[in-house]
Amino acid sequence: MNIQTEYAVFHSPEKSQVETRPAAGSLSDLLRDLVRKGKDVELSVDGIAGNVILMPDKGMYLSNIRAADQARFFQAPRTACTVTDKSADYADLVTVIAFSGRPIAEVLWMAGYYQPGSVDAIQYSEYHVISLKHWPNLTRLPQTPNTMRIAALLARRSSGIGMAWRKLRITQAELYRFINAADFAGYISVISSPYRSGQAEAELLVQETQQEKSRQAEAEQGFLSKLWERVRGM
Amino acid sequence: MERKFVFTGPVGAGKTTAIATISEIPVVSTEADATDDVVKLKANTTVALDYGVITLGDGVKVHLYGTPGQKRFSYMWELLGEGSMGVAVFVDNRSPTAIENMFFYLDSFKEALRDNDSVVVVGVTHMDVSPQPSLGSYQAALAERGLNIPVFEVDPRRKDDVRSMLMCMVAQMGFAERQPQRAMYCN
Repeated sequence: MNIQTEYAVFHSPEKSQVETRPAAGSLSDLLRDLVRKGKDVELSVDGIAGNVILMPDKGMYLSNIRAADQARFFQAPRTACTVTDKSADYADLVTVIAFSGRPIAEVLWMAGYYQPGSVDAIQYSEYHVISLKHWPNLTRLPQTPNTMRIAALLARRSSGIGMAWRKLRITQAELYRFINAADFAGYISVISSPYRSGQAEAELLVQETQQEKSRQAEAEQGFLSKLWERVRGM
Repeated sequence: MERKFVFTGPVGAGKTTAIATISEIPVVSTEADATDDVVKLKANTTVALDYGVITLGDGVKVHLYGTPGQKRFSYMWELLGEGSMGVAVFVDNRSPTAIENMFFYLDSFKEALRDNDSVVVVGVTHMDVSPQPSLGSYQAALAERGLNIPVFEVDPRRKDDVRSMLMCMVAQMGFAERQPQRAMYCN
């Protein structure tokens, strides 16, 4: 079966349904809204070749956006985006998706990862305690240099957000980018949201941070640190 | 103490290829002509072990051992698993029992995971030709056992994929103490 040929069917004008131009905002938000509403739609962006087709009820999506264009695609303003209803093509799409579809969590991860201003976008405070429900498929998703370490921490232990980036000695922005992507994909589990940021909380945070720094300092000079650098540099 | 990672999984899952992809030296393989049912899958198969190596900046060697896939060589698994820092389980998604195979190999290395305080990662291969079961199905099956183990789609010929599996194990080793998931798994 020629996937490209089959896929091209869905670009034919006669099969296009209602096209809409969404209001202001980013494509990432729009994409998440469409998935939540269970819409079978095609998303395209002016000036970027290809499109993304969402099939939320099947938990799958199709994309022929080039890897080099992914960031631009997801960061495009809603006003540059065209949404086409594909519900009339459902039967054909199901056939294609069986061959070349990808889990919809992956496109949601990308939407969150590339979302403009993800540091400000996350809905959690420094005092939220979170964990990672599932590991993302990190061989096929965009990631920052410390994504594996963040995932390893949050998959193994629940952690306060403020603690996590200090513990890992990474920037707040890198952690927030991970959390935003994981949150879009539905991988974050909120353990508690202690807004009681009183003295005890602050003291605990300082104490744990100091202990962690001491452990980290030892570890970083050791075998693990060398191994990490060696494998990362391969 | 020997520093080593073990690559395990059923016949044809890609263990030997993965070690060859990442090792600094040509893989030392102890392959023999396949007999029994394995001959339907490939001409040669590992009968004792595969061996590769990574050297750190200070000259310390990290050994990579691949286990034979056939269950009748399982006595080798225990030997190779002893003292391992991490176990990479490769699963061939073309198999109708792919998820059961994952659990079989996880169970087989349970002792090593517990005794060595080591970590685990699962690499699902051949998903390009057999996309089902999805990674979500693997995760759901693991979650039923209370496990949150990393499961990645992997092409063992791709260096980036095998490197990601190694990075994942090293990243987990950084939090190896107080591992609730491993503790649950090893009970």
